[in-house]
Amino acid sequence: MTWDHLIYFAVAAAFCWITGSVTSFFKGQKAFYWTVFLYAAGIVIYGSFIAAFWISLKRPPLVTMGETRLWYSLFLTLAGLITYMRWKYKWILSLTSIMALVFILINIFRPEIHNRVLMPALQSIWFIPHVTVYMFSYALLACTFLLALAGLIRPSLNVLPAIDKLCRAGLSFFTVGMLLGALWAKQAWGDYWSWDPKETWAAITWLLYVFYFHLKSIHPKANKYLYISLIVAFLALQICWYGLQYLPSARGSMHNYALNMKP
Amino acid sequence: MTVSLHLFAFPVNLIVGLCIVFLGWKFRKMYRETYMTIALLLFIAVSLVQGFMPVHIAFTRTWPFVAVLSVFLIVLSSRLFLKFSLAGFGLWLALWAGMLGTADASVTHVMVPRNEYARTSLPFTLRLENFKVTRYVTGEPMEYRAEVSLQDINPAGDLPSRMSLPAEQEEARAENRDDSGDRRENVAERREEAQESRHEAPESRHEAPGSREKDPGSREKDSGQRKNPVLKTLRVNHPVHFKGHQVYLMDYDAEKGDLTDYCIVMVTRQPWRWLIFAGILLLLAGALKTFFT
Repeated sequence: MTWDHLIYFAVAAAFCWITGSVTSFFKGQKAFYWTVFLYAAGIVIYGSFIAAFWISLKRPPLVTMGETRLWYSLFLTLAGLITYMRWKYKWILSLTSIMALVFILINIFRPEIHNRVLMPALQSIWFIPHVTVYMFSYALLACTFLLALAGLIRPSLNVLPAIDKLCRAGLSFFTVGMLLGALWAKQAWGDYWSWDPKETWAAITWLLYVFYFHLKSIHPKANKYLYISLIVAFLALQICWYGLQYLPSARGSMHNYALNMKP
Repeated sequence: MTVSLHLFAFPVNLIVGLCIVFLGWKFRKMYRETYMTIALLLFIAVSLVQGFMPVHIAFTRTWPFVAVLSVFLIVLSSRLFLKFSLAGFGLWLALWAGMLGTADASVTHVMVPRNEYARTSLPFTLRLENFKVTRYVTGEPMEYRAEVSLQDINPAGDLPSRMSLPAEQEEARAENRDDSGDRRENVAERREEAQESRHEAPESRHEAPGSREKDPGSREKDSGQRKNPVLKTLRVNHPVHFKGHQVYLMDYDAEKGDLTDYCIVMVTRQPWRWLIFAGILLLLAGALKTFFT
């Protein structure tokens, strides 16, 4: 099994994921089972590529950039399926399918990343869980941002119940991603938390989402303020995710792996 | 504006911590959600200040930040006394132990030479035995492996001689050079050491650098008591635990590669780390509980 075989598995998996995402919009118990079946089949097909690739490499595929991208897609779709089965959000599967396919397409169209190696600092069992959990939470929180915008523009829409569930899941995953990062930081940098710019902005984002829930608990009807608090929180998330590189104060961040080539 | 951490060394930090709990308990009946709103907004505000400040300023170690964090912890503990939540308690414990534990934590960077033991203010010393860089086919480093021997330098009963003044140490070292053939003891031609402490633990504060050199008499006595050095391999992401310290591989002479003459390690001591760890686990459990209920 080599990278050349990825496309066949990817096409089959993408077919299952896309049809599963479509059937998730149909009503009824039967459609639900079909969705779960199709989506799970896609995960199994895609997962079997990773397993076979692992066996033929004779080592876990965790070393190059391309190999880590494989796992993002697997865990994103898995997290999407669990969330769908648990809460039956319709559009979550479409969202995780798109994100998973983006990572697969990157691997297919940019083969140079297949051999771009991971530096020693990134070789850790924490790397993939830390990143995929964050990716999934970003996807959920992006949904809440879009819904909040919709609610702000058209106040007649009642988007708060959906926002509440999504935000709860999104913040849970964000917390898990952040804490996995803290446990990793203890192993790599000597402390759980050292207020590195990335950590600081993660803390700001986390506190802003906590603030949303706090506001929700004391003023459940203040829709406009709730929407605004979510939008502000999502802006902080953008800085935390990729905006940091444009922030002069974050130059010395230990999370900057493009520059920091020391062990 | 920076907090003088040594003023809060154990047990002062524990007393401060208990005061936070006490205040939280005392004011629990006065707790209003408005106070939590204010505390959260203040916490967000000081985090934003840190977020927009250059890394080296360390705003999180200044009084305004610590004061806001303390207020947040008091308000949160009041709330927890009224209405317990797993995630809330995990967050509280991690922040509480993280804040107070900073006063007892120490970070020391040590340059570990290849041919002799490093001179450190720590209760042990290190020597680089072997360094190996494994590379990918592309030439980029895949793994750094530094084999170091760790040697206990704190045998019982030598405390008075370890408190010697630098001048006496110089004498001791001169004598040392004359009579000692033992490489481990011959510390005369020592490499310039990279020893920079962000903050030293109160315990290590007492130890003058190079304190392991003693007058020849007691030296002979304790080389008998000395345990054999422990051989450990340091790798990135795989710190070594030794005598309550954690040793991290930080740097080496990249130009010389495997033949590097030294490696730089970071040695941390964080006595409160188990409380922080417990807080993190509780918050993790709380987050998962929120997701599944």
